Amino acid sequence: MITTPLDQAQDALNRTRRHALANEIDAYEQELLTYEVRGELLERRLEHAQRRIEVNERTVEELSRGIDAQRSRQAEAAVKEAEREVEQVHVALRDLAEQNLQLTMLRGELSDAIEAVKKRAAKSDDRQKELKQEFDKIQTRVAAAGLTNAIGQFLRKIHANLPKERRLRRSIRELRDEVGDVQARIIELEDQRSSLRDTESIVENRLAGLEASTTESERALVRRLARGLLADQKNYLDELISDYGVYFSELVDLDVSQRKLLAEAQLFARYIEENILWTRSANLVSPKDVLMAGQALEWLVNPKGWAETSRSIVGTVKANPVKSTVFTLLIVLFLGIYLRLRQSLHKIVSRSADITTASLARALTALAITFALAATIPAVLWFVAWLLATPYETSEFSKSIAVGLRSTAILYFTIEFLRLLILDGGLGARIFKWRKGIRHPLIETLTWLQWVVIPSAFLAGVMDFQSHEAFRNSLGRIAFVIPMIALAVVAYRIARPKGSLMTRLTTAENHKWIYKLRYAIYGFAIGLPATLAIASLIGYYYTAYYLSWRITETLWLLLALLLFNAISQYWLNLRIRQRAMEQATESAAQTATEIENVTSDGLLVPVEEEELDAETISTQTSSMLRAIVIVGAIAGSWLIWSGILPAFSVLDEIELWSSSVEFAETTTRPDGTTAISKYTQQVPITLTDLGLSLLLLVLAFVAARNLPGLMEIILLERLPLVPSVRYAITSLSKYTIAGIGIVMAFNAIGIGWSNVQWLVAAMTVGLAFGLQEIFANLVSGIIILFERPIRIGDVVTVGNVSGTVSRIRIRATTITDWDRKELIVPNKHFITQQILNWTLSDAIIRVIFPVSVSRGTEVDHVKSILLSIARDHPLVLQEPEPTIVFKGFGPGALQFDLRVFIRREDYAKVLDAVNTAIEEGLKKADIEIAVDRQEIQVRPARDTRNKSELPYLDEQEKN
Amino acid sequence: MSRNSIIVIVWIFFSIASSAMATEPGSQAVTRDAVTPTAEEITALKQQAEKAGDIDKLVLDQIKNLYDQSLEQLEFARQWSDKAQDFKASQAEAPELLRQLDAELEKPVPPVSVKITADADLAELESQLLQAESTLEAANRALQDLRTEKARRAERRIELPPKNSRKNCPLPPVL
Repeated sequence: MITTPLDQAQDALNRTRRHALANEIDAYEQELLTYEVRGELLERRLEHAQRRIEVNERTVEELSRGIDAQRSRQAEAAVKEAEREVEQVHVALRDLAEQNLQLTMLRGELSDAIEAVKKRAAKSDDRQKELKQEFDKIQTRVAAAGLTNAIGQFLRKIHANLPKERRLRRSIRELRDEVGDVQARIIELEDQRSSLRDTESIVENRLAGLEASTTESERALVRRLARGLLADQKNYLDELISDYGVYFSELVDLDVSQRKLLAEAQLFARYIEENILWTRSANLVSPKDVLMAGQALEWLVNPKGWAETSRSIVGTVKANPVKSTVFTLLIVLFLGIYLRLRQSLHKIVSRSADITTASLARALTALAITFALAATIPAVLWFVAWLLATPYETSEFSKSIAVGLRSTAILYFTIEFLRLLILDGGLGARIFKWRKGIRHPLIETLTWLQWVVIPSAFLAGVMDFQSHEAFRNSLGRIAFVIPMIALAVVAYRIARPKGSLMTRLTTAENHKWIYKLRYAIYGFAIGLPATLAIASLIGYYYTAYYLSWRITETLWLLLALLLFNAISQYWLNLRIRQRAMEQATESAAQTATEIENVTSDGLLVPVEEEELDAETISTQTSSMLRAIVIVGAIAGSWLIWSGILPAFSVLDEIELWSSSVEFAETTTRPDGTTAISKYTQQVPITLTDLGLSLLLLVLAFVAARNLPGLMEIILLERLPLVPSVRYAITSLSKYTIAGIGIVMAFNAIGIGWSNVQWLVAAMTVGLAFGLQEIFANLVSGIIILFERPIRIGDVVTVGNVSGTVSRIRIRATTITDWDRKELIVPNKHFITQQILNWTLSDAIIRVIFPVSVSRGTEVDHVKSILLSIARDHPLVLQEPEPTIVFKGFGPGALQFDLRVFIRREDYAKVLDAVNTAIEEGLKKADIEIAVDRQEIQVRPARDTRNKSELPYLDEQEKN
Repeated sequence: MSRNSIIVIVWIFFSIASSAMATEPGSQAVTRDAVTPTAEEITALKQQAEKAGDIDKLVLDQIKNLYDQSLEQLEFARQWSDKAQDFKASQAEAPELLRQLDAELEKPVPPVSVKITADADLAELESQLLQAESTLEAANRALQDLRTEKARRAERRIELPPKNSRKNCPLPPVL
């Protein structure tokens, strides 16, 4: 009901808004309808546009071809003309004519190069379009029919024929270099062209160079000819510059085209790799395969093929003489110093094992030498593979051999590196202290395993690359299955739960988890190669082959992490030992000084050192390193496996709950202006999110617990910071990391600030009443860490208790008193109440020794004795100097106060030593220390009591 | 009940049903319905409020603001209506355009009309090539625009229905 003008206005707005919205909806509906109606029209337009493009492309192609032909014709004509000029020209101008000939020949070559680049670009464009079309088609087929075995095999074929990423990248790199060269050449030619600007002076110079006997008519002829030749040269240079411009733009076009092709090929390859893994690549193995393997072997040992390889090698050497020579020299050099490297490795390892000469740099050098030694033979194999595969027109046989050699090189390197590491004189034995009982079975196994694995890797690699499907599925498969069986046998021998290796591994204190998982490890170690062998035999050869390489990569990752851990532990032990030695040296020096100067020792107050002790640092850093290794293993495995295992994406499909997230949407008004409106949307929280959240929590927890140790040893120790500041930094870092980790973990599962702000508000009220003391203490703890009214080691008096601050935590602080009793004081106390800090700004404290001597003693004598005691004591400071005060008269005594200043840490020692010295000094001077005397006067009392009340008196009196 | 009475009842039923259907959101607002005030009416109401001396200044400002917003909404409504009309017009012209394009596409592809003689001037040929390349580039751009348009339409088809349902959310009641 409209009652007021305001209601009336509101009503008008509602009506107009409704009207506008209705029209908006209608416009959208009409828009949708238009798309329906005009859909066919758009398709026709697309068809029409494509036809236009086709026509235009043909025109461009025709014109380009014509221009190329014309340019070649002109270049040829120019060469002929220039040659004729060279023959006929006057002898004084022959060099000019020859220069012109060079230019025309260069133009001819350039014309061919332009044509070649154009062809390459066109080919690259066509290939890219072809790939794109094929990719679209395949995606449609897979979407319609699913991933059948037939499609899988088809995809494998496409994958084998896809442009090789490495080759394309190399080609793009070469193009970039070529573009740079062309730019430089253009500049050079332009300079040359500029130098011809003043033709007449060049002509005159030429004439001046003629013999004096030259006739005038001959001079006139030379002048005319020179002018003509120079004019020709200018033309040739102009044309050449223009052609280089064309060449430059063609190169750029080719570069763009190659990049597009690379992107398309990568996209397609990724798609295929993701999809073909779970489809069969061959039939169940049968006797036919054995026969086929024989044929494959025949193909492999065919002399024709090997003759082709020698041609490929010669071709590469001819095409890349510098690279080939450099590589050969490097390899020869390396082989030459191989033995010397082995010797130096032994020396370095021995030095690194000795604590007095050990250093991280030395251990790293030893690792690098081990790496180099293991890489020598693989480098030779790799070099031969490069020689075989580099020529553009190299045969399939050569390329296959190259692939086989590369596989061999990789596996040889892996086995050799591991073997060198664990040999008796190697890094593992001497530096990392890996136990003999674990190393020796491994050395023995690796030694025979390499004779099985390496030839098989070669055969499997060769067969994988060559194009005969039957060869791959026969000889290739056999070459793959044999090492898998060998690996299973190895696993059976060395991973037995009661075998020598596992027994030795599981007895180590920090390898208890291996003991718990020994049966699982045993099963996995045998099961994995066996499964791959079986999968390969039943037809999943591609899958097994592909997975075996991923497993090899994972093993490299684990080896790298193992090395990282070993090196880090070695460095940590080294640092801790060095630190302990430094501390021991300092402590010895201090003790020597004390022994020299102090005659008596006092009680030591137990103060918890705020500098982290070696054990804590070691434990925390080790935990941190372990966490880094675990995170590295998880992240690395993810990188290796995530692309192919759909199991990971399955986790994303399990929705646990949803969280509302606010989005901002930009809406367009009819006039084209935009407005931002916000709306909330439900976002699903999946199992992946939960996993991520838990991972974040664990990481934050590990980091918060262990970071102080690592920070201390890596950074803080090296900065000019006092220990208490270092302590404050590490404490705050700990709480900050924990806080950030918790926030991130909650965010990952959709619990953001907006979701919990109401809860936080409610909790704040609750906490304000319920937990206000705890919060006050927490805040006070932070204030103490920053403001530092007390620090660890300060002597404080809180209420009736005096002692040393031994620990500051975020909620409470511990004070250890002189009786070694620990008093836990809430932090709020230090902020809100008065405390006495004896050593806040100064570590010097005053100690008063009250002394009372018998009356009648000479005051000055007492004063001089006490002062000399104070002055003579080495721990009593001379500045401010000790004083003595005659305080007054006590009952039967003269009272003195000896006031001395000492360092806080000497308190107990001085207390004891000075008191002892006073006692001895006064005794020596025959001065009696006053004793508290109490005189009791006994007076006889008058007996007023009734005797019967005191019966015992009667008895006494009687006696 | 007489036959006439039945006819009257049926007529009344259909009248009520049709009037109820007419108030369904989306169908009523193709044109301004009778209950929507015109710009003139709103201006008059605004002036009337301004002239009335018994309204508090704060309330008057509020009222003026509401009327201004109403005028703005009317303007939006007009613009949306124009858009709808444009869409309708393009729907109407579509069949004719389609016929024309079909006719064009039925014609055979024209042959390439480039003739290069042995003595042709290279510079002239290069300028012809440049021209042909720019034509090809324009054609490629046009094709790309059409593809973008296709993608845009596909996106709009997904985007518009939820947008429409959001716009159809309940409005404050009209008093």
